[in-house]
Amino acid sequence: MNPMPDHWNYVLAAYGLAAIGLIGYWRYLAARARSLSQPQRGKGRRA
Amino acid sequence: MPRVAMTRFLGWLAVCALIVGLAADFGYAPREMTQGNVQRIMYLHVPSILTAYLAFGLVLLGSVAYLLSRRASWDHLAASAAEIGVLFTAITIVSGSIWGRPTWGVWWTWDARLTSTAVLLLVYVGYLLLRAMVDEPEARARYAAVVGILGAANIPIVHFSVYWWRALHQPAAMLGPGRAPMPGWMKGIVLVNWIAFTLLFAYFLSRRMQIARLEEQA
Amino acid sequence: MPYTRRALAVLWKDLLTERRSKESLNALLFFTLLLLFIFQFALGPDRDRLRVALPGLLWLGLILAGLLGLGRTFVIERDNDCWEGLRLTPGDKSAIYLGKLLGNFTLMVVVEVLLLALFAVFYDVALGPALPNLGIVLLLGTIGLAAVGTLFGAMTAQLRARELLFPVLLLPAQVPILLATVSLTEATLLGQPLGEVSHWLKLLAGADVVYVVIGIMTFEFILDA
Repeated sequence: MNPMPDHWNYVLAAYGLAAIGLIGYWRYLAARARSLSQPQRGKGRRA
Repeated sequence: MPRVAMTRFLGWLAVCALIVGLAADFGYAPREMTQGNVQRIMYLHVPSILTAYLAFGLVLLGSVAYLLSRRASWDHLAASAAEIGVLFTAITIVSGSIWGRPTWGVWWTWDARLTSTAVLLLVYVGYLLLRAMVDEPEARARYAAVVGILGAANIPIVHFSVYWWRALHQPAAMLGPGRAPMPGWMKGIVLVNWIAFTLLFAYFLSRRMQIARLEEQA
Repeated sequence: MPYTRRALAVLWKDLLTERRSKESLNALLFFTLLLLFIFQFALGPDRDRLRVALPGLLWLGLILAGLLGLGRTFVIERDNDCWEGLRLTPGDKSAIYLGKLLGNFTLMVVVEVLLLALFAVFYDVALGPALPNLGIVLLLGTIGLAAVGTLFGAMTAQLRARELLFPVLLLPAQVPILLATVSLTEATLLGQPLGEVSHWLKLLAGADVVYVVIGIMTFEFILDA
């Protein structure tokens, strides 16, 4: 059976996009927590 | 505050587990026979969907518990779990698509697993949209709970229907991502990554629920 | 008032309202006729291509009609200030759900029959021998569509964003019904006996039971404040 050519760029793309998604969500959570700990000016935002 | 400290500890634990997982994916795991190194994407793809299922199970739990008890913390659980579940489902689909491109030659096929995962995504994105469009917190919680319950009950029904739908149009024995039986060491690596993802999920859930709690009090 | 009488009272009220005003029904039936043209224009003049797509088009037409018609029964209640009356009804609210479900089901069946007739005439499809089996399939599928449509319709009627949310919520929930009914319709049009596709029938019937039960159990939470 011929071994398939290595497709490292696909592997990198998959793991990379997953990392971007997870880190992005982490940063979104941090930003939201930060805005909550600052004094509220208007209506509270929703869950 | 103990809660915040516990969350932070959970986060660090998750990071460590993820590093171990990555080491297993790239260091320990050998180059696969038929597919080559692309097969390593599976170590990302399978734990991801397992985590998503955990998340949506919690959405069901939170939804039912909210309707029975009317306590907002159950709604916080449902909302938070849904958000994170959608994230992991998206990762599952994107990684599955990227995996499929060199192995099957196309970015998307309507194969049973990809399709039913995509439907799962549609259901819970709809759930999040509903939440975004209802301002009143009590009504939002009630409506979301009903949609959450129906969505969860539908998951097995969707699975069977999509699988049978594909069976008509595609030979059942189709080798591709996830079709071949897994040897023991491969299952072990998937397990390691799955534990890491579950820890990460727990960390995200904890932080997201804290935010929901704080917003309710605001 | 005992449970069934309450459900039937709601059904009767809706049927009477509809018979007097003919609002929804006329517009929906006209919409169905329009769909016929839209499908033909979208698929091009090739008759065979249309025939192959027929099972899908039938159910697509029904879902589109459902998206328009299923939410309306509750929006009408709100427009006429009947909503409070519904909410304050003593006893088990799920009777209201069943009444509305039966009404919506009837409406969808009428649309379906028309759609089938139009298909037979305009698309030159011989439906005769397949009709009994086709009827069973359509009835089962319609129950599922109406069950979820009634539940979500009641919910979205109370929201500003109802025109957007109703389709967005209903369509993913209808995926199994769509897959099952299209496969079954294909089979019946090819003359296959229902026994050969019994797994689809069981899935459809099972889904119907699940949706109706969830509707009955959760409807009160949609209504109350």
